[in-house]
Amino acid sequence: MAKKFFVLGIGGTGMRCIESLIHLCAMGMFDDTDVHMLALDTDINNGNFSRLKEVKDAYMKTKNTNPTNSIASKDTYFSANLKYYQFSPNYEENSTFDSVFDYSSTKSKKPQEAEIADLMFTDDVEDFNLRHGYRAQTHLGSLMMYHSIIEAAKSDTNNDLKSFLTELTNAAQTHPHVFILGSVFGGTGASSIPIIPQAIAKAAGIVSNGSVNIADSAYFGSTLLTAYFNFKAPSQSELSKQKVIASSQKFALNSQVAMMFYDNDTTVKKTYQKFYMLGTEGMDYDPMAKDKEKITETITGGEKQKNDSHYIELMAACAALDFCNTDNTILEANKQNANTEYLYRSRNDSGKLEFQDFVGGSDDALTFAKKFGTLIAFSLLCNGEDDFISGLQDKKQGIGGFEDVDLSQISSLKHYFELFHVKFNSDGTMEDGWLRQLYRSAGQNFLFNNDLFSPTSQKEMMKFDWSDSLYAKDGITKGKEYGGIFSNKFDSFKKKFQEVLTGSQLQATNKCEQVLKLMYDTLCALYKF
Amino acid sequence: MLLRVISTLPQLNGMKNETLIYALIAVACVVLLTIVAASLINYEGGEDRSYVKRRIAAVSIVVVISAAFFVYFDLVAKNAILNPGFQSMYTSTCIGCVALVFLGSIVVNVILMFLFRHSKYGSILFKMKK
Repeated sequence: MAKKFFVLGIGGTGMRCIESLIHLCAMGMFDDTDVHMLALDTDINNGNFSRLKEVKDAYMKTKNTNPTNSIASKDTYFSANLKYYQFSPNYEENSTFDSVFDYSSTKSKKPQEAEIADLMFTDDVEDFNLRHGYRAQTHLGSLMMYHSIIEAAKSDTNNDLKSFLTELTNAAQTHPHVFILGSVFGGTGASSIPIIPQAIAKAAGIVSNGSVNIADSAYFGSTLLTAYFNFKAPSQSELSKQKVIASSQKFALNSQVAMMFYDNDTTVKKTYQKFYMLGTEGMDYDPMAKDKEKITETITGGEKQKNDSHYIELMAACAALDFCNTDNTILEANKQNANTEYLYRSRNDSGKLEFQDFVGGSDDALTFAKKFGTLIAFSLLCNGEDDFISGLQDKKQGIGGFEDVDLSQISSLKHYFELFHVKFNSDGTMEDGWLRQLYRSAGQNFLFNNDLFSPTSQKEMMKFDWSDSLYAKDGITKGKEYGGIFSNKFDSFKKKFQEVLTGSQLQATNKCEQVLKLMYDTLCALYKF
Repeated sequence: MLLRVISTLPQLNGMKNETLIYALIAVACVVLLTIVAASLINYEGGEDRSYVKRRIAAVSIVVVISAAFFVYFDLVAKNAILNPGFQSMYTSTCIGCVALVFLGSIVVNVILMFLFRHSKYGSILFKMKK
C-alpha cells in the first residue's frame, strides 16, 4: 500500500518549493507515495501560484487522463500519485484587518479588545489590502491565517482545505508526516509556519467532529528558508500610496529574528520534530532579472509576481523528501522529548553544487543523479527533433503496440517538459524552464556538465550530444555516458529501447505509464546505472 | 584457377562447378554485406525513415554483386575457354549462376529479415513488433 505524505506550500516561496517537489516526483524520487499537497496563499492571482497549477496539471494529466484513477508506482517517472488542494483566504469582500474583524464596531462594543489590537498593529497595518498577501507583517499574518483556516474548516460548503484535512484525519492511524514549505523572511510563509500545526490540528478536529487528534498522531517538519533574493525597493510615492510594502532590504533582519524565534520558542519545539535551515551566502539573486527593463515599480503581488526558480527551492524540496523518508522511531523520540532536530547543509569551498549537497549520502546521491539526469535526456527525446514519443504513438518509429497511447497524455507530457527544461519557440529560440532557471541561480557548476546549459537555440540544443556530455566527467557521475563508434545518441537509445521492450512485462495502469516505465528502464541502462 | 586454359569437356564441367560454388559464396557475401550496411545506418528520431536508406543499400548490394559476378565470370573468366562451343555452354551456366546470386540473395535476405525482424536488418522489410 502506498505511503501517504502531506505537504503544505505557503506563500510565493512555498509555491516555488512545491513546484520543485513536483519535479522531484516526476523524476521518480517519491516512489510508492501518495503526495497530498496543499498550496496556501492569500494571493490567488499570484504568478507563482498559476505556474504551480500549470506544472501540477501537466504532471497529473500525463500520469492519468482521469487523476482520480491514478495510483502510485515505483522505479519509473511520474511515480508519485499527486493529490492537489489549494486554499486562499477570501479577502475579496473584506480585504483589510479592520473589515475582517469588524474593528469599527469592536472599538465601541469591546474597547479592551480593540486596544489590544492597537497595541499590536499600527493603523497602516490594520488598513492595508490583504489580497496580495501579508507583506512581511508576520504578527498580523499569523492571526489572519489561523483565523482563515478555522473559518474554512467550520464552513458548511466543501472546499479543498476540508478535503485535505479529511485525508489527513483518515491517515491519522499511520502517523502521517506533515511538512511545511515556506520562507521565514517574507509575509505569508513567515506568518504561517509558527501556527500551521496548531491550526491544522484544530481544523482537523472540527472536520472529524473531535474524533482525531492530529497534534498527537502526526509528525511535523518544516524548512526555515532564510532570505536568498532581492527585488526593487519601493519608491517614496509607492510607499505613500500603498502604506505597507515588503522591502527586501529588511529580509536579512527578518530572517535573523525569525531564526532566533525558532531556536528559542518552546511551543515550536513541542510541535515540530525537524527543522531544515536553508539559505544562501548573499541576496544578490534577482528573480525578476530577465524582466528587469519592464519592471518600473515594486510588485506587491498578483500575476506579475512570477519569480524565476532558485536552486535553494530544490534543496527545500529535497528536505521534504528527507522528512518523508525519516523513520518514525526517530520522529517519535523527538516528539516524546520535545526535542526538535535542526538540520542544515553547507556548500563546499569550490562553490560547485553536487548531488550529495541536495540529498546526502553516496547511494542517495547516485539515485538522485540517475533519476534527474535521465529525466533530462527524456525531455530531449520528447520535444526535440528526435521526438521519439510522438513517433511511438503514430508508428513512425516502426515500433508497434503504442498506437492507443492517449494523445492528451502525450501533449501533457510535452508541456511538462517545456516547464521542466526548455520550451522551443517556432522561431527557433528557447524559453528557460525550471532546470535552466536553477542553473542561472547557481551561477554555473550546477550538478551537470556545463555544456548542457550552453545552447541558446533549438538548433544548438539538438546538436548537443547528451549521450556523452550530460553528466560531469568527474565525481560520482564519472563514466555515466553511452554511445559507440558507429552509433549516434539516438541510434544507441533506440536499440536499447527495443531490447528493453522485448524483455519487459508491463503492468502500468495505462499505455502512457507503460511508455514512461520503458523510457526509465532504457535510459537507466544506457547511462550504466 | 579460373584463368587456366579450358580445352576439354571435363575441364569445362569443372569450371561450371566452380562457378556454381562461387555463386553460393557471392550469395553469402551479399547477405553479410547487407547485414553490415544495415547496422551502420543509424536510427533516426521523429519520423524514422532510416529503413529506406537500408533498403536502398540492400538493393544496391544485390545489384552490384550480381553485376560484378556476371562481368567477371562472363567477360573475364570465359576467355580461358578456347572452344566457341564450350564458351556458349559456359555462358548458359553463367547466366544461371547470376540468377542464383540475384534471386538467392533476395530470398535468403527476406527469410533472415523475418527471423530477425526487431533488428535494423529486419527493419528493411519495415515490419513492426506486435
